[in-house]
Amino acid sequence: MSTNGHHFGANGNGGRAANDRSPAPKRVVIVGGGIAGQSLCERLRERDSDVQVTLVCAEPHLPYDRVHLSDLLSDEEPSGPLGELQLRPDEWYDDNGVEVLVDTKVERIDLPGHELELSNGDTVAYDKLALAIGSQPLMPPIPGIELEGVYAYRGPTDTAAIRAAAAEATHAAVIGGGLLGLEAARGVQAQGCPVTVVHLMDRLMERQLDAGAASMLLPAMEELDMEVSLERQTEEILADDDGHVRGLRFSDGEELAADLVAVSIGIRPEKELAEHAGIDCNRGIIVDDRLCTSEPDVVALGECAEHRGVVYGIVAPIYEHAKVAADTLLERDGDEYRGSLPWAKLKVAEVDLVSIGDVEGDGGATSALAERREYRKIAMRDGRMVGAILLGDTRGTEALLEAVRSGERVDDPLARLAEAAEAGPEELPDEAQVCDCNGVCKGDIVRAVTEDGMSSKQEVMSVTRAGTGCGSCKPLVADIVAIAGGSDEPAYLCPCRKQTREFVAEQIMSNGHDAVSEVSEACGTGRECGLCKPALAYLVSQINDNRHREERSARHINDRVHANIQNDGTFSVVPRMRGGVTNSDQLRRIADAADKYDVGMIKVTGGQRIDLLGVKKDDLPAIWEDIGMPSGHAYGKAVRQVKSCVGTDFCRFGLGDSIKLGVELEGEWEGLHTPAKVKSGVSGCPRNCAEATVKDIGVVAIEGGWQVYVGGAAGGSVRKGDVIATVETAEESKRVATAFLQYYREHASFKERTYDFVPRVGLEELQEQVLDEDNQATLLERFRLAKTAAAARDPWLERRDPYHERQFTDLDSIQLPQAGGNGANGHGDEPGDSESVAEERELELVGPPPEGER
Amino acid sequence: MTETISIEGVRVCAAEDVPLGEGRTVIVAGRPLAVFRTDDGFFALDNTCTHMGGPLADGIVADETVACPLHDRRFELATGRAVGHECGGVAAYPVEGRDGEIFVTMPLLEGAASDESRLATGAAEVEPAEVTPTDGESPAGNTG
Repeated sequence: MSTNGHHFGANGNGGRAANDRSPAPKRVVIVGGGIAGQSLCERLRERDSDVQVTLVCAEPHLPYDRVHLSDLLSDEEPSGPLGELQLRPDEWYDDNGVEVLVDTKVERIDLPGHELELSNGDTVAYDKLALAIGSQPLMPPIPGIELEGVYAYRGPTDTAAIRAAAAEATHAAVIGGGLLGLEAARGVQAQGCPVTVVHLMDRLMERQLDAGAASMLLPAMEELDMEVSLERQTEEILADDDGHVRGLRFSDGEELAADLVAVSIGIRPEKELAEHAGIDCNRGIIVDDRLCTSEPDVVALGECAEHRGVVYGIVAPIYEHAKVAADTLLERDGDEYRGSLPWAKLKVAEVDLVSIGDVEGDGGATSALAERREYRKIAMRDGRMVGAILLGDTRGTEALLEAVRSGERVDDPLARLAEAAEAGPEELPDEAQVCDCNGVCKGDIVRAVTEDGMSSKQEVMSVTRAGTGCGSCKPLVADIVAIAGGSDEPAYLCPCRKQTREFVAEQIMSNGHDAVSEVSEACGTGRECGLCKPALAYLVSQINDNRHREERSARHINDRVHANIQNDGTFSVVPRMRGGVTNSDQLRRIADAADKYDVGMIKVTGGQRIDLLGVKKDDLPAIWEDIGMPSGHAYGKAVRQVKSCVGTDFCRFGLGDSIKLGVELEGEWEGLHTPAKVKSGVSGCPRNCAEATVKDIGVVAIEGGWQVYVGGAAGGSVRKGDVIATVETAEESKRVATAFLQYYREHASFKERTYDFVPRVGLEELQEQVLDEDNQATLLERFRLAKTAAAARDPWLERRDPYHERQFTDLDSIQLPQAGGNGANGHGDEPGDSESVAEERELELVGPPPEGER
Repeated sequence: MTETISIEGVRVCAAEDVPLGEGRTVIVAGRPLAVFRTDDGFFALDNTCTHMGGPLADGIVADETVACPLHDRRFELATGRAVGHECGGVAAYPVEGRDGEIFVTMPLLEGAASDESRLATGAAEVEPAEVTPTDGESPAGNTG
């Protein structure tokens, strides 16, 4: 068989040969390269390694993830036409013996002949056929729907086109105020294009929300600068002179100017292929509880299938379909499919919204806090829970999903709602489904830990498949793994050996270990995957007050060469600039060095420093020498910088000398390693220009004193710090801030930022530890010890005294003088003459090496 | 197909050129390799991570694996097999130490059309496991 489409995966004979024992191998052909088709491939392979599997994809690429389509619209820079959304890498199909025909349409199903006719004229025979052909966007039959500038929001081709159009357009209209429509609108906005959502109904997402929730969602969307126009029936899409869309005309005669229109009003199941073959269809292809169509050897699944009168346009049922369909195709006994609970999560970053099941019901309870845009509801029918809405506060999603799924009987729905908000992973019943994509229950995860000996989230995910679908349940999976491990620790320091930070610290202290290799030798810590070695190295250094034996092999490359590795393998260089204050001499040296070493970019950082990007590893010692400033530790888990505003020196509002305090604090803290990076700031008045309240440690001058904030963040997480103390003098604020820093150094888990650490320990406990006079004195004494050792040497001085001759250099290149068979023995020190270099270029490496073939 | 020439025993460095527990890059005939030194001896892999092209020589070396410094994708030192991710393995090359000098054997072909994919994907089986980069951010963010 050959096709004019591209071929991936197994050869044309259909993959792995059957072994001799089995009868003639069954050949399953799957039509449709979406999540449904891919998922079915995987379920088939799990059950049977011999059956021939062929996947026929109409689109010109391998199966991709449609659920995260909106990521593609709002990502700043997609990394290719499908971004990272391809479901499996190209090799997967080879490795699993799945033959894939892409860019290949099925023209006709010949049911009696058990054959498919393909768009290229070839035929493919099947024993069993699976239709996973999905759906088309529903387009309203109105004049102008075909105009240039009108797009359906469904496929990646459209997405790329919408993205490009949104970047150029002056105003966009999205027709359809459902889940996908809102996500599309947000994606268009991400391209900087203003957008109006036009919706036929009197409220947004009417299928998932009741009137109360919808009335709260509306202002939330408007707050995101999205215009929403309700009860608008679009009668015509208007064209300009060039046949490009210029706006919409509604049934009341009003018009909206728009040079980009995205349509997202629902789906139309693809059924024509089945219908023409004589398979029973209604809205979709009709299937029974085994997902069998009216034709015994043909199943249908995903969005093209209609089961008990329902067509599902969401992802979770697809995974359930795939399991049942796989059993049916392989003629195995398995669970029947009895329908899925419809539920959805709005994937607009600023708005948390979950809708479950029948949200109206005949009763229930609602808790609404208009000023906080929170709306939580349980819907009941005949005394049983049938649905829920969680807007603004989605705590308890899993518990309520489980309750609705099991039809829990509820006497006091308001109390049940409150209880759900408190329900942590501990309270979830074992049968509560955690991963809807793959149907994994809490009990499965607990058993993976307690019975199968898995310890890390990653291991559990790979074994149970929980969290490997849409990924939204990953945090919950991690929580359950931690609970099942019987440990309060959020994570083991060494997950391979299941050793907590406390355990390892105890070993180090009681045995007096002063090097990573000693601990590894004695306890096995870090020997298996090695990823915890930096955590271990930090612990060893911290417990020994930096009087440990440094072993660079345990450090990340950043801490081996004191610079931050970039995605291309070059490094970035950030000299220390205390408090963000510099001078013309430093700037001149930095400028000269940037020229001399040809740095790719000079960037002013968010921390009031200068970053030289794109420096080669072996240039690092020389560039540091030329700059002549100390390391800014921008590459490490360490005190980064203390940002400051100009304070009383220059500012007419200044209440405190923030520059002086910032420069002093940075001087006292610099060079110290910490469990995770520590960013700091000092503001000279409550206008807070140094953003001190969202730093790990921040100090803000107020009338008559200083406030010390801890646990703030303004990165991937945003958290306002807590005021740990208000003090009268700058000196006192330094003592409090420094004592906190030391307490954090001694008690936080590796990679645990202060914004997690502070709420975990609790402000009261921290105040007790840091403000109590004796405790504070002890912390400051230990800080002094650690600092003295750390300050003894600026890491960038290793340029003159490296720990190894090749600390900053790789090995010399080897050029083969000639293609001379055995024993070619080039030596990098010999410069190849031009002839041998030319020959060398013709050498190509081939074939897997002997080791690799195993 | 032209004749396959196996380059045996290319001297890549002296043993002491690579610190114990670390790796270093060496470019042999234009191809970047990573040479590692552990308590169990020397290993050589293709240097380029199959995930995003990170330099494996700069990774953290454990008893039997190395983790890429960019996103912690792991590979077996002895075979190049991918461990715990689906980005594919890297080629591994036999290494020999003689009198404190380190030699690597690489299969080479003269004059063939470029076929990098055979090296990139030929090395290893892939374990079906979902990749989750280790919790939190990369070892250091890019901010100063």
